[in-house]
Order: sequence, then C-alpha cells, then structure tokens
Amino acid sequence: MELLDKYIAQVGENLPRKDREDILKEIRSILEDTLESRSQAEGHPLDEKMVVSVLKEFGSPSKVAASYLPPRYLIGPRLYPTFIMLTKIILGIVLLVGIVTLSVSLFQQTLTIETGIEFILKKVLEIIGSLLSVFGNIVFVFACIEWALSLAKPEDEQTWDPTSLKNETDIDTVKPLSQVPDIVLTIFSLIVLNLFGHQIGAYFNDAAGQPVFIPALSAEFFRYLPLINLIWVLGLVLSIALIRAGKWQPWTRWFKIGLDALSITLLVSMVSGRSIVTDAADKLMAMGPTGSQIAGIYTGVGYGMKALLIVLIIVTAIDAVQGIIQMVKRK
Amino acid sequence: MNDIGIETISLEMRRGVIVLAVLNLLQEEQYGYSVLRLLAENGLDVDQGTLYPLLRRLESQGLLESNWRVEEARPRRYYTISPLGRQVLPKLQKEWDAIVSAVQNISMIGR
Repeated sequence: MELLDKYIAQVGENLPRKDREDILKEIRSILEDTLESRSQAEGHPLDEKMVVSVLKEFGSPSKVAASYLPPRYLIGPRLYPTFIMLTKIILGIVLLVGIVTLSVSLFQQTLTIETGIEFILKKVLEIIGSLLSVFGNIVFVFACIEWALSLAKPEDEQTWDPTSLKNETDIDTVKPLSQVPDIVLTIFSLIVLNLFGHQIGAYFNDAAGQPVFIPALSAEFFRYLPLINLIWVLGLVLSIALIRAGKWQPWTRWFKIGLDALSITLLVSMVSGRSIVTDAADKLMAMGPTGSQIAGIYTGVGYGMKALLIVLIIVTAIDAVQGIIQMVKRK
Repeated sequence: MNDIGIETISLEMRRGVIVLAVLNLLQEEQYGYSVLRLLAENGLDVDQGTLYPLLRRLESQGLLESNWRVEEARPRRYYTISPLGRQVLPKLQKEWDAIVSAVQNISMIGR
C-alpha cells in the first residue's frame, strides 16, 4: 500500500490547502473500496499489480487533483482577444523603436565587419530582451485584471430583461472590457517611465567618434513624474471601481471630474514650464555639424511635445465638461 | 467521424444526465464507490474522475448532504439527497422527460 500512499500524497501536492485533507480522505476511501471490489472480483488477495491497475484507471495525480478544482485561467476567454490585440500593438511599437534605434546607432558608428556584426548581435539581443520583458509585463497586468474580473459580480440572468437593451447604450453603463485597454496602457506607461525613463534616448558619436548617450526626457520631466504617477494610479483605481460597479455612479463621476482637473493643472504647468525634452544643445553642438542638426531635432521634438500637451489639455477639458453635463442631466 | 469523436460526444451526453441519475439514486444513502457501481450496474458507465468531484460540487450547491462513518474498519463518506435536492429533483425529472420526448419527436421528422 506504499504506492497508494505515495499516489495520495502526490494528489495532495496539487490541491489547495483549505480542502486538501478532506478530499484526500475521500480519495483514499474510494481507492480502498475500488481495490477491495477488484480483489473480490479477481478472486485473490490484493497485490501491487492490482494497485497499479486501479491507479492507472484513476489517472495521474495532477489530473485527479485538477478534477476537484474549478477551471482557472491566467488569461481567460473574455480577455484573450483584447490581450492578443494589445500584445501585437505594444510589441510592434517596441520592435519598431528597437529597429529605429539600431538603425540610427548603426548610421552613427564607424564599424568594421567584425565590430559591426558584434554590435548588431548585441543590439538584437537587447531588442529580444526588451520584447520578452514587455510581454511578461503585459501577461502580468492581464492576469491581475482576470483576477479582478473573477471577483466582480456576475450579471444576474434571472433579473435581466431584454427590454433593458435600449438602456444598454445608457451613458451610465460601463462594460468591464472597455476599461481593459486603459488599464493595460496605464500600467505599461507606469512601468516604462518609472523603471526605464532614464534609458529612453539615443547614442550619438561625439567629435572623437565616441558614443554619447543623450536622454530624451529632461530633469524637468522627472520632477513632474510623482504627480503623473499619482494621476495614473488614481485613474487605475477609477477603472477598477467602474469594472466592479458596472456603471458610472455620482461619486465616480465627481472623481473623474476631479482627476481631469488635476490632469489639466499638471498639463498647463508642463506647457508653461521648461521643456520636458532634454536640452542637450551644448553637448550636441560639440559634436560638429551632425550634432547641431540633432540639437535642432531635439528642440523641434520639444516644441512638438508642448503642442501635444496643449491638445491633451483641450481633450481633457472637453472630457471634464462632458462629465459635468452628464451630472447635471442626471439631476 | 472517428471513434474518439463519437466517444467525446457520448461522454458529453452522459455528463448532461449524470446529475439527474445521481439525485435519483441518492434518495437512498450511498457512499462514493457504491454510487459508481450502481450507476454502472444500471447501464450508466460514468468516469470516476467525473463522478466523485461532482458529488462534492452537488453537496456545495446544497443538493446533497454527506457524513463520514466508519464501516468495515474504514471511513466512508455517505451521500444522500438534501431537502433542497428533493425540491429540485421533480423539476429536473420533468425537464428530462420533455427532452427525451422532444428528441424522439425530432428523430421521427428525419425518418
């Protein structure tokens, strides 16, 4: 019966602690009943061959344990299409940025065939590493959302009325999946800016032909980062609250209006303050004619970012006004 | 369709009726293995990997009740239908009769 004990112990390894003892007790009881019945049917005492045969019929310990557990998903069928779509978009962007950075770096370097191959291989490995890291982060975020959705109250089929379909387009209704892209992109941006923010930039050759890294984001940007983080985290809290409630409530409307007001304040201060793009004119000018061209690009990007921030202020203001109008309509 | 395909469909059909069969059977108290044996003896071979977890699920849904007893020097979990299960059973039985009747009628159309 040593084999039986080992089998039951292995089933237990795959069961949650809470129900383990009770399930194992029941499995042992069933196996012993089955073995006793088999022994009577075959007309001879229990032997190891019989135990092996019965355990084979029961199936592997992991299969038996799985049959006692509810279906569990890391990323379930509800989220899978969104997961695939966002993964393709985000990995596509990362790959594109990697290829552009590699091309610019190659153009800037003076390389022999050997050093060129070595340089390309190193950069390709870096791109693959980034792709794997980003993919891992996306999976992690979706797994968290899957867990949060599993806690959300399911739709009550008994009280659901088809005539309520006309209200489905109601401005208050929130479909859980509609929040998923927001959540994923926010978490992705939080990770990128907080963990890799200082590494966003490009390498350029100085006058001596030595590569110099010029970061894209200025020190000014990193002064704003704590407030940006706060706004994004509050945005995540709002998205999760909307998923759980399934609709806009007065407090979530006011919360969103407050969040929009905070975002506008931040954006106005970013537009009126110093550029969030690095001012590396001195460093770049020292690199000769190419450097001054690149300095011009950096300054242009700086103006472009300010223009983008102004557009964001307008969009956020429209969003806030819409929120206020909807609050007034409700009253 | 190959044998494996037919076997899968057949398994799914059995899974659909197993709850009804078990609730009917457990109007008298039985332990896990005896439920499996009685089902088989009455022509309903059920995979043990399906039956035993199902008994626990039906208990957690309140349709069955169970208690542990030591018999023949071995602890056994005995299952029996609960008061809620007794209320549900006639409805399920009626539904099953309607399904059988409907499938028979539909099969006549095809002949």
